[in-house]
Amino acid sequence: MLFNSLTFLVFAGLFFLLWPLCRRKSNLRWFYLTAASFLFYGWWDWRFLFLIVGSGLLDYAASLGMVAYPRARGAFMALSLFGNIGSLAIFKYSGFIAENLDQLFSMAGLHTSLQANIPGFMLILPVGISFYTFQSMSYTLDVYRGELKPTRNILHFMAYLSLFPQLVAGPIVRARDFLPQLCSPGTTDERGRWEGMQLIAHGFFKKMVIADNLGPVVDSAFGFPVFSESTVYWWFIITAFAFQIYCDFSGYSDIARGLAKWMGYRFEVNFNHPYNATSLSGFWSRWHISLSTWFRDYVYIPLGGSRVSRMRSHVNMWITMLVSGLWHGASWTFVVWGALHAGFMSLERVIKWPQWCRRIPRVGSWMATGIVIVQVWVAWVFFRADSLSQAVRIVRQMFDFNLDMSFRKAGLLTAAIYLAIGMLREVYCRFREVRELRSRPWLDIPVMVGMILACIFLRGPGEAFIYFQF
Amino acid sequence: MKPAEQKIDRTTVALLAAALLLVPSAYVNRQLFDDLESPLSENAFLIRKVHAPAAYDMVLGGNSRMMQGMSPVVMNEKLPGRPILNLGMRGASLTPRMYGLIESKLAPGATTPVVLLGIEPGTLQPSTDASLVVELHRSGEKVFLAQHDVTERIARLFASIRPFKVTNKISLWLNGPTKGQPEYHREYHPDGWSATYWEPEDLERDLKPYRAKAGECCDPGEREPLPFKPLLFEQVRKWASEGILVFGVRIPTAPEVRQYEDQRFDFDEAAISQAFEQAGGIWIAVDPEGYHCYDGGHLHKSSAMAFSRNVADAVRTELERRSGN
Repeated sequence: MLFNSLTFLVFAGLFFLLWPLCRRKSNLRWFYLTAASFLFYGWWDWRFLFLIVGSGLLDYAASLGMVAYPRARGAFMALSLFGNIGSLAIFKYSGFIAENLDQLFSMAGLHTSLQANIPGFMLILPVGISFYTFQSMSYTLDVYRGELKPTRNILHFMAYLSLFPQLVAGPIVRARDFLPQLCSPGTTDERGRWEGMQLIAHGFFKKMVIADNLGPVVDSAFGFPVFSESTVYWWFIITAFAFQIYCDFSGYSDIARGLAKWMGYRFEVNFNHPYNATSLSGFWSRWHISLSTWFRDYVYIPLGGSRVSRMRSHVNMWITMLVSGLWHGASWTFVVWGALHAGFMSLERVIKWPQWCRRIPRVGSWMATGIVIVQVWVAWVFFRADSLSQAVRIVRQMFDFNLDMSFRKAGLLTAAIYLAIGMLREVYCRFREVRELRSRPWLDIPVMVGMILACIFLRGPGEAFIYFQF
Repeated sequence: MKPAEQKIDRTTVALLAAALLLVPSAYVNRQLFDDLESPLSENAFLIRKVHAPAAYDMVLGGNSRMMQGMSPVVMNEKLPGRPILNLGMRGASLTPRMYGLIESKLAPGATTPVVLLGIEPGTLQPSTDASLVVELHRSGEKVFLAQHDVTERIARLFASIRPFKVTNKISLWLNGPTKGQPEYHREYHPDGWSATYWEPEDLERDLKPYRAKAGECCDPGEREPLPFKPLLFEQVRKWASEGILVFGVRIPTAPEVRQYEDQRFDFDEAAISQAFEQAGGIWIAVDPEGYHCYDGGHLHKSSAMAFSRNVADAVRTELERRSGN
């Protein structure tokens, strides 16, 4: 079920109608949350409910096993990791692994056809598998480390794992933060409802008005068989994609956070004006924060983090970024995307360019932001491209300084308008945060009404959220 | 004392205000930005044709020239009682995806299933098939809304406003209908035909790029290849062997456009029609004289109707010849 669908509107309407009746009775609340979430997920394809239930049961049982048999903690942890990574390997990476094995064997003179023989069901990517698998893994890892006491109630665990606002595209919430919240009836006041409303409206606006109107131009540029040689064209397209993916993904997170607020719960901020960062490490502390912190806590720090030799610390960061790239998709383009970020961050650590920039009066922070944007944009090319060769060609064109303006202009003006709206919205929101402007109902309510009407009458043609495929 | 914002429930007020404004906004949207002369919205038109059932005796495939150039309802004047669907899609090529879609619309029990393909350089070169792909992947909810008249009418009230419509409307208000932006008329018919024309036309502007490039191209050896040619003949052979009657036609364009395309692409109509017939198809030769294209490349509504009648005549003649009448 997509947030931006009539089906979800009906679903959410019914859910919030019954929520006040169900939230006060503990068992009823857990059951209601789990049942509604399963309905939400199963609407897409009910058969994949077995996967989320199976994955959840494994982690639920493994966590209880760790407490009951402390000596076998390692074995239970290994079992959980094997199950979770195994399901990811089957449903997300089997095609990629088979394709590369075929190529490897072919280089050795052996002709195999592993890819062609993969069963059909393994090629269907269950929506949100990477999100709920990581959420489930964080639960067992926290229990394993002794940072979380496992719940004995299966409904508690399933409600945490499958809660519908964040089930398919995050934010990835931690059990130690969220399970205690779910134990309360989740009450809201006027302020909470209004903040939730603002998050939901901004989320829908970002997704439906900005991202969905930028999408067709980006798709057309990457899919068009005749390659444009213009540097101006490609910088525009990649800027459009940067805002498309930001608005698409952060829009989903905002909607999820707003829905949680309406339920009386709180998800942490997942995006914090990432394109305003003045260093790449700053970018990663503002972009997809729940995933970045997941990788920090469960990959980077266990590898030794920064408390090892300088060289080893770089290696740890590279491993983390490469795994993060692969998490996004089973393709070498995503691996290169992760490698580029790792490379840029290594460079940043070695030459410390953000510090040099900050010393320049007045324009220093602008320069730093500009450098971050160039790096992030170049990496986005690999993230979006259909192949490595296409990405390399586009990047080469971006730095070719070919100022030819005779490219296809169809749809570019529309995209430019929505890009400008997206940028202005971002600047306005940042301005309000920095100045800590107080709420003014005479201004805020009309703005809210305008945003709701814009979502209806200015929505773009797109439908699905980009991050559903991850 | 309570803070000011707690005196009113802002969420309720905002939602109520939005709900109240929704109806007048929808009315204004319909009056200002909808193509009132069109039986269907563009959205429903595209969804209905791509998600049409397998219920047609005759299916027309091609790109926007086919979509705008042939009216199944008009063809029915010459071919009565034969359900026809125009599957032409903007920017589409004759790809396996398009062939598969055409096949899926033919009624399983049709006595003589007929396919008519719009063949020209544009449909024989790779394209993204973007609009076709988008429509094929519409959610079940959107398909449902588009396929039912009542829901389609309601959805049309809430159709998305494209920025160019707003700028056109403002220009019309500021400059009046004669000096304002030319208006693009589009009618989306349930049979898959989109009748289109500019008012007023500016053929000089539209043909200028073709005239400018006319001298540039090209020696026969340097012409751009059309990689989908072999696929076309292979598909015609397959269909012919399955008893499907396959017609090919080059939809008329302005002489400047035709000349430009002939020079730039490896498209020799005589050779293509010959290979098409050798593969088992029937080529309908068309004299482009007498047909009017409003922008050089797409038939004007009135010419599209005349063209549909003439092509239907040719199809009927062939069907009668085959049945021995």
